Amino acid sequence: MADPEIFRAEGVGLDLSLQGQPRRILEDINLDIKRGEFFTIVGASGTGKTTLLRILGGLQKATSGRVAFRGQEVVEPPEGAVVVFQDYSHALLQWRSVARNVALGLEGRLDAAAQGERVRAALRMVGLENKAGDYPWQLSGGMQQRVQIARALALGPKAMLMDEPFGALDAMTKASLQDEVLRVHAETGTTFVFITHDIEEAVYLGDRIAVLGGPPGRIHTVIDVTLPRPRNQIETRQMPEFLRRRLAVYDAIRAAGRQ
Amino acid sequence: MRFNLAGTLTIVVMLVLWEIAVRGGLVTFEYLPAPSAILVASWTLLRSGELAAQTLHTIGAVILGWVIASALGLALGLALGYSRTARSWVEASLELLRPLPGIAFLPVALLIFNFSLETELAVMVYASVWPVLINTMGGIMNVATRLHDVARTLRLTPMRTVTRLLIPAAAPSIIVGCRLGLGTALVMAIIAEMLGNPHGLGYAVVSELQAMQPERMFVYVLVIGFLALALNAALVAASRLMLRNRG
Repeated sequence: MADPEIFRAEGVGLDLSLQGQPRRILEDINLDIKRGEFFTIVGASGTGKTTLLRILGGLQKATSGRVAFRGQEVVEPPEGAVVVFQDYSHALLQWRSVARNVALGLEGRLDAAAQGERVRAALRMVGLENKAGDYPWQLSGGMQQRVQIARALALGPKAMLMDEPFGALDAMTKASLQDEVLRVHAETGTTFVFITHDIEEAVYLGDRIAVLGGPPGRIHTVIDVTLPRPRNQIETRQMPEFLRRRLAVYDAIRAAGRQ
Repeated sequence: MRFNLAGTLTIVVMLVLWEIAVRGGLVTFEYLPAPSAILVASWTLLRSGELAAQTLHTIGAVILGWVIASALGLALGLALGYSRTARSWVEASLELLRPLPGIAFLPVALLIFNFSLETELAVMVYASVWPVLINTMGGIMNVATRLHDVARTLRLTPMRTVTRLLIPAAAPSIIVGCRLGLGTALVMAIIAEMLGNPHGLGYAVVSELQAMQPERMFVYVLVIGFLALALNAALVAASRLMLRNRG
């Protein structure tokens, strides 16, 4: 328990050259994400939310500053931190069954029996144990996204990095997946870094909410959420604290946009 | 597969008209045999074993040439689809070589390999490697960038990324390339047998022509047609089987 923080970003910035024009995407991002925390990141589009997540996950290199995951500098996707993408239909292997999709990251690392066990456990966690033999294209959008979450969980990660995972889903599916993710968070103690543009989702899920402004993307404020857990779609959302936090995030986004 | 009555009737009617035209003297080409004469000739060739021998040679050569071309095209296509560096070194040469008709290389192959199976294979492989190579390269390059992200975040090794992700994702386009390659291989085999390797169906067509045996020549021409149909049907069935689990 040397470091309480699992991710640390210090002065992270990203400058890209787009069609010959230099463009600053992120600027001076400083973050400490605590172990076991549910950390949500919100911001208007164009504030670099996805880029920040890709940098944390080692999929993209920052051009300044440094990111550390469990004390190690991130230069490539680190072991123990997995990204879950928004576009599940592109992120799943359409020619593989659900179980074989979930096994993808385990192949060559575990023997068949251990793989099978991990796959079953991961599918049970997202409630898909009876869909193991189906193919992704036979499933609804919500179920496909569950498969992608199970594939990440099968690796037993210390951190799940989720990039607007429910952005393409309808309201009812979204609510049930939010509760699914909260249950996984409570059961496994995994750290979640969760990007969304949905303010209520950020408040409902998060322990802390980072509000991004820009472009170039920078952290405007970090808001604490002290709502009790386990959270409940009806009760939590009616609590005065929920409404206050929602308003605080909303104001922060507006203020960040005016800067 | 279902039986197409109307389509079959059209063929039967055409054959009957052909027979009547030849027998009734409506057509006066000296060397156009009637369908019945072709049928008789095919029976003779079948009994003598000549038909089987020539057909087997061509089938063997086509499959061998196609397998070599597909393996070569797949390997080159993978390397070029995967590596930008490889593309920048090789692409210009490919663009230069690709439009050259394979048959133009027959004299070169003859000089090197003489009148032999090697000449036949060389011409076939040169011509049918292209569709496999181009389709494999395109298929690999078009794999969604998201799948590359998935491979990285799951920390797959480069080898596994290629074998578990890129090749299966590009499989539909690789299979199309292989099918086109097989058609090309057959055409090139027949031409090479006519001009460069004195064996097989192509050679048989030419030698029956020179022997003034048009019935027999037609038998070989028809067998070539049926062979093309059968090879394509076999490959369509095989590719359905390989892609059966895709939406």
